[in-house]
Amino acid sequence: MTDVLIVGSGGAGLTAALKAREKGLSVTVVTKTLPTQAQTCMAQGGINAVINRGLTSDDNASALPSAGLTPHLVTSDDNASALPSAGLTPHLADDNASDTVEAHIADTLKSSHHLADPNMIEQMCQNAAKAIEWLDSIAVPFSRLDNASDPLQSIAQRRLGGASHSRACYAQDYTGLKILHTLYDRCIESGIKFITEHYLLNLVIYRGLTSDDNASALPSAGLTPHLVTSDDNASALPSAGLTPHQVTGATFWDIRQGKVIAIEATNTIIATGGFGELYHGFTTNSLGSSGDGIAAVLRAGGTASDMEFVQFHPTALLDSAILISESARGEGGYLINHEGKRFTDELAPRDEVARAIFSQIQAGHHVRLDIRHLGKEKIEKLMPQELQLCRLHADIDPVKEPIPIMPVAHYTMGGIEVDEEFKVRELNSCYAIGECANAHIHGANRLGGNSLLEIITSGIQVIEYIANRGLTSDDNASALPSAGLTPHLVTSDDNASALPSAGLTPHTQNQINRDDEAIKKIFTKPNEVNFYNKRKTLGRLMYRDVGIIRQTNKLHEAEMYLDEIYNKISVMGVGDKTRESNQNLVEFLEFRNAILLAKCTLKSAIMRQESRGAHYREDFPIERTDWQKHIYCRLKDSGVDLSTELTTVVNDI
Amino acid sequence: MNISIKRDSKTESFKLQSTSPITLLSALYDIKSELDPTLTFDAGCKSGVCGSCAVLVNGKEQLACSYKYQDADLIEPLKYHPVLRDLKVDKNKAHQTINRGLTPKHNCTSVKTPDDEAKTKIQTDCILCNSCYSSCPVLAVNPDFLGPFTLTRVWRYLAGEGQRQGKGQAQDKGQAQGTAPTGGLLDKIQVNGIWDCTLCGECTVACPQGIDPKTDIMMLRGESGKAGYSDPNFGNMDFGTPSFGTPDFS
Ligand SMILES: Cc1cc2nc3c(=O)[nH]c(=O)nc-3n(C[C@H](O)[C@H](O)[C@H](O)COP(=O)(O)OP(=O)(O)OC[C@H]3O[C@@H](n4cnc5c(N)ncnc54)[C@H](O)[C@@H]3O)c2cc1C
Ligand code: SF4
Ligand code: SF4
Ligand code: FES
Repeated sequence: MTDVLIVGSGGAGLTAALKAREKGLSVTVVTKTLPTQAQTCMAQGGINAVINRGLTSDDNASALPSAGLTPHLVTSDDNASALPSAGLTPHLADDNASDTVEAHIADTLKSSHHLADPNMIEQMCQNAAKAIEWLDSIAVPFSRLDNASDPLQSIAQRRLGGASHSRACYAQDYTGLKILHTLYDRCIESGIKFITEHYLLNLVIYRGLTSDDNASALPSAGLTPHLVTSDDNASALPSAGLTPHQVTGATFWDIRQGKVIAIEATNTIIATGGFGELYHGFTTNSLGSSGDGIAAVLRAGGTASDMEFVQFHPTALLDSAILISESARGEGGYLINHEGKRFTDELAPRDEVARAIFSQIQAGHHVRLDIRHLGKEKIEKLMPQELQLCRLHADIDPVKEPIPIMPVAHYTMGGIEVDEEFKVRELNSCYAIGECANAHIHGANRLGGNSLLEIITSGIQVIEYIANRGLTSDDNASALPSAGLTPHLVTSDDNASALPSAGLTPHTQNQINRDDEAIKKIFTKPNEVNFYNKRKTLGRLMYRDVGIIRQTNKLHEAEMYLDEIYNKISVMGVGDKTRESNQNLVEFLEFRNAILLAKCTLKSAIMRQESRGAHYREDFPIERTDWQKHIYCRLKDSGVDLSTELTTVVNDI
Repeated sequence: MNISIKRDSKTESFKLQSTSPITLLSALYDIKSELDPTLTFDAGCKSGVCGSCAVLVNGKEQLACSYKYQDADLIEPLKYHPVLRDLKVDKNKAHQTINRGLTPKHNCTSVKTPDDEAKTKIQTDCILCNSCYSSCPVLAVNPDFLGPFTLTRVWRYLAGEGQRQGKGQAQDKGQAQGTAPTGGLLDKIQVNGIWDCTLCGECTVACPQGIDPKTDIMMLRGESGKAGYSDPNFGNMDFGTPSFGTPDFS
């Protein structure tokens, strides 16, 4: 029994791991790849924080619900209490000198289109400087300015789209990479155990006395029935200490060994990243961003919300979908159509530019990004990476030719519905942080630089909440008949079969058995339809009809196609029947999750008859106050169940 | 176009449909989805930054996602890594060298000025793709060698700090030997570390990120010398350790 099980080793997971360790909690981090291969490494632009006002002042800190930020975050430089907190005179001439936490909050709120929770935004923005200070203290090599002032204030900042000030702290063009690797180094130093190449299958849930009794009492009465079975010998468990629908760990597919294992934990944190991969071939996201954690929560009776909001980046290379950063337009690049004419304001907000480009593509025209007029010298100096990417992936030289581009899926705002403490609403002892969670920070559109900030601040906070609850493994261990498995001792080398299965609680063993059965079935079922082809079809379909510009007829058409793919899953399988290191199987499991989430996105997109942020309906182009609400997706035995609920009205600042 | 892929002990040839040049990674996926679903490899970001996909192409380390394949290319798994299946290798042992290089806990500090930043900018571009490890001849004779990326990582932390500590580096050895909790980075790289490197520069050639572990290792030797460490092999020449590198400089 580990105190904290963290699934996912991106910036969110590793931050939580380090913070949990600092609190003396035992931590196990599990990832389906190797730790530093998480998508966080891809972030280039930066991480938002207002760092110019002598840090967040004490009065701000006390305004936070989580007043418990660990004291060592406040260094002696942080002489905030000595400073008058209001109206510090900025001493830098740059525009970031006049930046304020309030402006950061206002920018984020604006971008969210009234769909975010102002308290959550406020909390994140107010914790931002402390998050940067912490990253600095663990040696993240931020780019620096040549000002001999306060170390924090020497961190260089750049302006990203939608921001009123230069607010994004960066480490050259490798912000995410350098944050992730530094977090990893600190995790190693802290002795945090990693279990790598283990794929999350399902959450393990204690469902109360007898499964039948309690199933109806669960908010998620609509669980796919096979998750609650009668062989779930739950009645053998003493009920004390565990409440129904309590998450007590998770099951994983040990990719190398080819077997199902379970890890029992007092607290489970899901940090598995977004689901951009359902736009396969049309996304900047990594291949593994299939939303596995969100799908697992849905299967366990939890809720996914705001799934219709997917941010598209205006400029990625045609075909390869490799990101060409905003700086190309920022420096004065033109977007031109097939006639070589400009057709839009290149510096408008991301969603507007993306729509303008997509309209051209819909009309059958190619769109290209022309930076030739900037001149060879400038291009080589300012955009060396872009030059290289264009040469490699598009076989063109941007100095001589315009770059063929398309807008592609980039960030998924929706995800696991969590409360203000990042706890999954329907499940106890289970939390979700980072891109997989919907903590109501980004609303209908994410502001560039805010997701890296979210993964760090939520990783810090979630541990505060867990620690404040005072749950250590001892509390629950005694309630379990046999707390035999110490997961933090299990390494991937460990022969899982050597563990006495008797060490696991019956409901955990039952989940292992169910998952084992399910995987056996995949190995034996007919493999008549090639899912790799369907993965491509899914990507094209979602991009064309459930992408940047949406419309009723097209959405319904897409639903038909999607159902068709969905119904074929029974005759899709794996051609590779080996159990060990089976990439084919893992990709199939990912594809199944992507399909499920595609359904959520599609159904929500149909339901939302308005346009808001990243969700644009050609037939309902106006944002409507009566749609200022969320769409929630839950799993019923027959597909995806939707419900809506009003949010509190947000005042525009 | 054809490419050959080493699978276990045999080499299998695949005919590729695509006429326009595409990345090796796309080709591997084409093979997997159209020709043979059992072909096994690692991939993630598709854009050269997650470090998953390094393989050998005609004997040289390449990121599959950043290499455009050519007719008759021979693709093999990385060297000095146990092969799990086809092109997928076990990187755990190689990554364990980071544990050896960085633990027990070292008190690290961050860069604070543009000068500091410049000192570790390249080193912190590392994507942990293991290409350098695969290229290093020392690993053929000494599997316990810390290897290039870990030594670069250690230099990263020392270089960022050297500035502020100045001559205080000399304390490093003392601290380490006195088991001081804060110091000791240099102490961890003396055995199976900097002195075992032959300075052949293969790692520098192999790195897709333009990192130069060889020079970092030379810097670490310099710092070690200043701190009172010396090449242990000087006293034991008779043992003929590989540390003297290739005598043939042609
Ligand atoms: C090209 C690109 C550029 C970006 N640039 C910026 C930027 O400049 N600024 C910014 O703020 N944001 C940016 N973003 C967004 C930001 O990078 C992500 O939102 C953020 O890094 C997500 O972090 P995370 O920790 O939530 O998840 P991730 O980093 O995606 O990590 C997910 C982890 O979960 C693991 N996992 C997933 N499924 C399973 C499973 N089934 N079993 C076990 N483990 C699993 C993965 O292996 C991985 O370790 C960018 C994104 C992309 C794609
Ligand atoms: S220079 Fe040293 S570390 Fe690099 S490949 Fe040669 S022997 Fe290995
Ligand atoms: S130093 Fe270069 S080759 Fe070695 S792991 Fe890092 S990026 Fe790869
Ligand atoms: S797939 Fe990430 S480096 Fe190649």
